[in-house]
Amino acid sequence: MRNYLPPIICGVCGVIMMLHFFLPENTMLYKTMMEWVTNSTIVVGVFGLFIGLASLVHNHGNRIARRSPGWGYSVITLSFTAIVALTGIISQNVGPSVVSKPLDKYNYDNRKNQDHTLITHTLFGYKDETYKTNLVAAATADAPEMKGEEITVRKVPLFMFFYNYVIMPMGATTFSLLAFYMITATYRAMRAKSWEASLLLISSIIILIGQVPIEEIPLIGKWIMGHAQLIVYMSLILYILYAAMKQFFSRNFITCGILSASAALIGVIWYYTPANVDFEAMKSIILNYPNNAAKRGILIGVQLGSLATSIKILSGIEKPYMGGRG
Amino acid sequence: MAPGSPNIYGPKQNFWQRHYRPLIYLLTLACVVGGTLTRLPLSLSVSDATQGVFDTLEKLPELRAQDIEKQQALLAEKLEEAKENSGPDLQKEIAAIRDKISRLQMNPKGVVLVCIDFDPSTEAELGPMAHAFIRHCFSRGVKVLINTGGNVMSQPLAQNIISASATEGALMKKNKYGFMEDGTDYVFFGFRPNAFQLYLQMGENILTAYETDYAGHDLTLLPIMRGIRNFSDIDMVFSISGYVGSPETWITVGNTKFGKPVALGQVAISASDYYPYIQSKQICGMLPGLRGAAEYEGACGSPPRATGRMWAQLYTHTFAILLIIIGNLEFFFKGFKHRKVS
Amino acid sequence: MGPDTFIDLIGVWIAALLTLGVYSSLIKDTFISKLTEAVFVGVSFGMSIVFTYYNGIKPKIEEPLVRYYQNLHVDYATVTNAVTLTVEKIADAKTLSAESATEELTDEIASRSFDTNRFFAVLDSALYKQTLKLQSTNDVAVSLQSAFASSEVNLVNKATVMGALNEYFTTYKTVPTSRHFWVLYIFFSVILGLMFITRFFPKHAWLSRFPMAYTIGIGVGMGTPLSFQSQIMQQVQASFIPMLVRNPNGIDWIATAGNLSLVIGTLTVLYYFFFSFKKEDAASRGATKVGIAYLMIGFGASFAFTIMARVSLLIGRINFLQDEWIQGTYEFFKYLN
Repeated sequence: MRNYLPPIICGVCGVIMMLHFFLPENTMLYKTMMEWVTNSTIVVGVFGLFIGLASLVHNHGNRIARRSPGWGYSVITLSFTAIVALTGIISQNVGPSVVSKPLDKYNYDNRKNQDHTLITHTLFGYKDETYKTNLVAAATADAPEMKGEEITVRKVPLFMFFYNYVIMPMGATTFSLLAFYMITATYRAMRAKSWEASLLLISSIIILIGQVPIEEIPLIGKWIMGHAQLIVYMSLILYILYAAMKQFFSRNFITCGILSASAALIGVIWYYTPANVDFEAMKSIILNYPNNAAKRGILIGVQLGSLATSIKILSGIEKPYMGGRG
Repeated sequence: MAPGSPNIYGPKQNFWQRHYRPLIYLLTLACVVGGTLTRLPLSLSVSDATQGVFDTLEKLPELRAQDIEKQQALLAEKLEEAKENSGPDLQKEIAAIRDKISRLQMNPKGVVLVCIDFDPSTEAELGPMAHAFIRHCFSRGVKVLINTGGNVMSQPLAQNIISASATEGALMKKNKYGFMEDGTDYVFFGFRPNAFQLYLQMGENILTAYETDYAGHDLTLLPIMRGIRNFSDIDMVFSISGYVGSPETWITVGNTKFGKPVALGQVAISASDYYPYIQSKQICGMLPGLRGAAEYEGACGSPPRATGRMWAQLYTHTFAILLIIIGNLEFFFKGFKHRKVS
Repeated sequence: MGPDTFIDLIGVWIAALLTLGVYSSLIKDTFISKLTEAVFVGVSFGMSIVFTYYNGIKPKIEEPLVRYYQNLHVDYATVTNAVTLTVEKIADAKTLSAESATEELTDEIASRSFDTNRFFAVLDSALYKQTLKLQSTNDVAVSLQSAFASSEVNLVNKATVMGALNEYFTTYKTVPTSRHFWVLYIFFSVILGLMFITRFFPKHAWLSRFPMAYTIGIGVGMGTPLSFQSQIMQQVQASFIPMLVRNPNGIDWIATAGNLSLVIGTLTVLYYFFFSFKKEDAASRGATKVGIAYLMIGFGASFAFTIMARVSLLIGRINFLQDEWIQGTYEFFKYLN
């Protein structure tokens, strides 16, 4: 039972959910099925949190018990988890409540009746409260004419303090670290070592230039863009001539000849092309045609793969849920 | 390493080769700080993808008028039919069409659903985009419904964005607007789990899908919801997302299933992946990252939060291009040769 | 822009110090960077617990069960009296507004007949809300008011309305039969969820297969048909584009070249990802090389956009440190007196 029942459940549930798309939408069956499925998956998903919590406590608890190197950090992690969870659950005003409140216009943020509303945080409060005061001096930095006037202060609870001053800044900072690594990667990794790498390099340079208005850089911007055509064509011709030279010294005279002819052709094209290089137009062409083709190919390929995997899961060929011993 | 043995990394490295990493970090920081201190105006051209979003919003009153005309033509047809053969089913149909027309007529400038589905880690790129779009809606008198997709952390962010946009209409460079009231001009539904099933339920009835707004007020009491029952009363969906998966859900549900124009606001990382959807007309346009936000701010006259940040982008991009050129020159003429001791 | 009160000032300084702590990891993995990581992990997890409670446990498990139990023991007479009084009030109000309306409107209202089925449907939607506390007459009144406010039911004729209400009460139950099945279903979902936790007990870990199979089956069944239509069918459809594009002046060479490039690119990229057979002949190798070329151009575009994305986040942080931390602190103390 423990081996054959889960694939049956998976297959039956999956087929029922696929078939429900063919039911008319305003029938009781469709509405009931949607409601039951939505709510049951939420409830089952909620217990996934308990697994995560147990896993966290288990790992960090072990580290503390064994006094492994860095166990102090585990103490901090578990303490903050407990503090934030407690303050949030005790707090009255977190997230939406599906219990309907009576419509009361004073519950609305009726700022049109006031010139200034201040939102501040309370370190030891758990309830949202609003009151009027004329003692808040710093608020007048934005509106100096309000000094001495009564303004409304709205206190948000301790839980929101953690959100606004820990989660928000640290979430953004952790991802912004990657900016430094990306810039270092452009120096270390973006080398024209092969024809594929060259294509990647050329495409990324054109889009990097096309994304920002380089001509707006004070003093040198207009000079750079004015000579962009010179820089682009000269770099291309020099690169091809360098490759031709390498082929010449390797005694591949035919390849050397072809490359030299290409360099000459590019010189001719340069002679006949208009003076301005429109990088934004080039960026647009790259994004709308070759990039489009590549991403579409990847998208269709990925979706075909996931369709195949879905069929394998529903038919029981693949059983990703068959964990657990026994 | 034994004394006198050759250096395993080859010839002695110079100062740059030994310390290029911290130097690059410092120069990157200098570019960003220099950019944020540069307070000059910056003009940006608007790309086709951004223009698509802008044009669709501008055309919403037209779309709504066309919708009303279609329904009125259908009503006339049904009334003609009722003259010959009036049954209870036909009467129900006529009542439903009349209901639909009166709902559509309540919001003649259009209704937009904005899905704010990003967390603090992507707020720097997507926040200005959300501000600009919602301000544009308010300046055109379009009613705005806001929800958060699959991300519960978006709620406080979304609340801040909406409150700021609703009260700062005077900051617009063109088409200024006054105070926008919660419940009349916009409503914030908040987060509900299981986004995909929720959106499908919205196709039937938004009021049963959400029941209350973010503050806990019954949706049936809000003036804005009198003219909105389900997806057929919404004219456009704008999904601002920092995740892969959320835009595909909206394209699948909003465009494929319900036939509504969908626009995307994307982080730049995944922006290039969504160009195929523009070509296939599954989305009407896209705002790709900070550049898209800056372009949109310029187009609609919103205060230049993203445009101000483009100076730092400009300096950093120029620095990155310089590094690529230097790296390739180094590769061609010097190279990094690592000889190992055999 | 900066902090408005002293507590916010403390918060901004905490945020700034945590930001600088994270950036210190660029230099070396120091004590400060590890401390900030530990704080971030702890606070993030605590936050996800709270949001899961308020968005998952409370509305889907706790409240429906609590209300079910309360409504099972509520006094039937109290509820029906409250409903009668509220409907009477609403009907009176509608009659009053109809009387004071224009002649044209009164005729229009009078011509619409009272729809009993619709009236019953509105009462059902008002009185059978999962979280409605029937003991509280105020909650019942609010629920009925909101339901009738948005409905099109004609309540002008009070006698008809009250008659229909009495007919409704003959079959009304405080807890409908479907609610018992709904509560059973909640228990079933909770049991399924509890089976997840058996993963930690090796002897009983096999029980966790059932909730996983259920969730995976539903997810796969729900997502596959629609994503097949929008991601595969419509994308393939969009690849069927004209190979020769004409404009009023003749042939549009740029659009033609673009379309040709798009089709060739899509086909060669798809061909590159097809690994079911060996590609040894010259044509296959050529097609694969063309596919790789397109992929490299696409990846170059992604790389360029990624640089912009990451730098945007860095700009956001630097803006925070400049505007809210440094300038905000200065302005706070400047305006303090």
